[in-house]
Amino acid sequence: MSALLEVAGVSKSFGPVKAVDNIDLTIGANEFFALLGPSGCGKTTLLRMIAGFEMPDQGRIILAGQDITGVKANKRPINLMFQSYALFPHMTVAGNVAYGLEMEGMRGAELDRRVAEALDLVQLSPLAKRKPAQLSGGQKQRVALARALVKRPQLLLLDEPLGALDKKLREQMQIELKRLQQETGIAFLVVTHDQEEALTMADRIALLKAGRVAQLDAPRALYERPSSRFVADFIGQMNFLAGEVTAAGLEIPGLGCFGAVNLADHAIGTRAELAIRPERVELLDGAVSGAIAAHVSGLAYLGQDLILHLSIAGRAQPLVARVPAANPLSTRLRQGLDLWCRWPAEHSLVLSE
Amino acid sequence: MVLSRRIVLTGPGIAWIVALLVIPCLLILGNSFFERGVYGGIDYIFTLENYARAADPLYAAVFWNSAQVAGITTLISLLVGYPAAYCIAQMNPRRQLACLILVMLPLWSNYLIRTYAWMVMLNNEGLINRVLIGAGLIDAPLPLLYNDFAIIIGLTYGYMPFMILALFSSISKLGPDLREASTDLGASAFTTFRRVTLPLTLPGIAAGSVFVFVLSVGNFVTPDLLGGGKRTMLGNLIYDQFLTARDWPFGSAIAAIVVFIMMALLTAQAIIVNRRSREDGEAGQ
Repeated sequence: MSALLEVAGVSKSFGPVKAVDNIDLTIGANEFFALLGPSGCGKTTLLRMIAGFEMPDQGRIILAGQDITGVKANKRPINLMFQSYALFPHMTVAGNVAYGLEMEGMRGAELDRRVAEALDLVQLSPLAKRKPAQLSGGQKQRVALARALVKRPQLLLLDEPLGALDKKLREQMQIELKRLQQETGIAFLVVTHDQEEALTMADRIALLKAGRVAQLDAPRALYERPSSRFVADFIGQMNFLAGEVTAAGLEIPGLGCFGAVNLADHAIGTRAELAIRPERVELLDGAVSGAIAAHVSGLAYLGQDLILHLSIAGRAQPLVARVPAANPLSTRLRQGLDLWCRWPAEHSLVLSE
Repeated sequence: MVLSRRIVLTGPGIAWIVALLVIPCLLILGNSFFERGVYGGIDYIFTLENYARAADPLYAAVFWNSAQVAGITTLISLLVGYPAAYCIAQMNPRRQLACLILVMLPLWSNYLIRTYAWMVMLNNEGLINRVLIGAGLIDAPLPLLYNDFAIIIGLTYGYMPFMILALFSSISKLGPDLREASTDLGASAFTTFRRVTLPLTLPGIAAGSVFVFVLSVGNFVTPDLLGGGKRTMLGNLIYDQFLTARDWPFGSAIAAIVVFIMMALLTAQAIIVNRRSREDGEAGQ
């Protein structure tokens, strides 16, 4: 994978607040990359520096081998799809899409052809003559996308692209964006606070925390092998059980000793937490060796899944389990039921702060 | 229930407007179609003579003069007011409030007093001439007072706040997103202004310009005091017809024409604003 964009040691402060703190990133050509994080983690500031709307205090931004740190926003071969879409209200859909090409001096038949092509790509050709105020949220988003893509940038930045859409449309657009990215071959950099959005679309995700990269990985690795408690907690749901690292496993007071895939990474005697995804918790009818007695204290039906809260003697926090509704056991599950649970060591992780 | 509440709430306002604006305007309009009485007053004999007289070159020149002076005043107010309003719109809310108060501050003192203050500044022994002579830049005082220049200075100064406020309310609705989007798409700062900011603030430009033009055209104090009465503007003409020539019907006819022109301008401006706000829909967000 050849590097398209390189963010090298970039920092940016607003007054006393360090919004972006010495971030290094490399984004490949034709990659779908996501910057993920809670609000205030610095992802939007980083995006705005790449777009050219903010100057980094330190560090360099390099695009296709060229240092563009000092290049003005209107001279960068990078386009941004704004969270608010920022469509020009006094121009038609076609006028909005044509704007960027007109800035390159394009006129006449070629301009018309390129605009028509871009509108085709987002399936908006019939609405070319409408004004933005006459469009639905989803249509506006497509116009914003066409307007940014029509310039054939080397890199397309998308700021919370699906934030303003309802759930159904969001799921549809996730697939659509992925398709557009593959069809155009343009590298996409998406900023989002929605982990599901990042997981479904991105090739790689950088999870930011307080201006730093907490973990940079492919979606599956980020979900299955989070490197810290913060990452494990932010991506999906996670059960945490505190204990102490021993040679045999993590010793959890009152429950026993549990194995984990990454036990060797931790020094014996340190305090750490065992992390188990709810869907990795197995429910059992009877006691087997290693199973823990539990009591169903809460139950929520989600359609395809059931969420269970399992109280375990001596623990304040219930263990959360997620079982498919199709599971034969699930028809008998109800609140107040006593059962047993366990989890496989190959899906358990030991995490420290 | 709803209807009665509406009447209670809007009634006083409507009554006020009807009693003090609509009825007087209709009276003026009515008077303009009658003949002048021999000793002043009105003879109730229908005639169109007053309107025919208003078209006389002598009076048509007054219309043209007034439009010129008001037009130049409007243009200067726009050129000076736009950058100021634009700057204020980019400030943080606290400085914004302070600046808007400063803009409105002159309106809290009497217009006549402010006009006299300009006479003190502009006359041959005034502040400006004395500073220029003192600095050795000129030998004899410049004729700053009692001419069109003085009238335009006075009107521009007096009505600038209306221009700035109208422009500010339009410019401040425009978030930074649209400008940034334009920049992102490759536009220079000037192109962004020409193709995005300016067209989208057209309602503010229209509102501010109509305010300043309408107020300037009808003003008679400034031409009298700063213009030294040499330049007759519409306000002066109407004033003279009522109080000096005692020709109420003719004064009424001119007043009716002025009201009609102003209403046409205000309607045009309302249409621009309306069409824009409908088009823009959610642009203000």
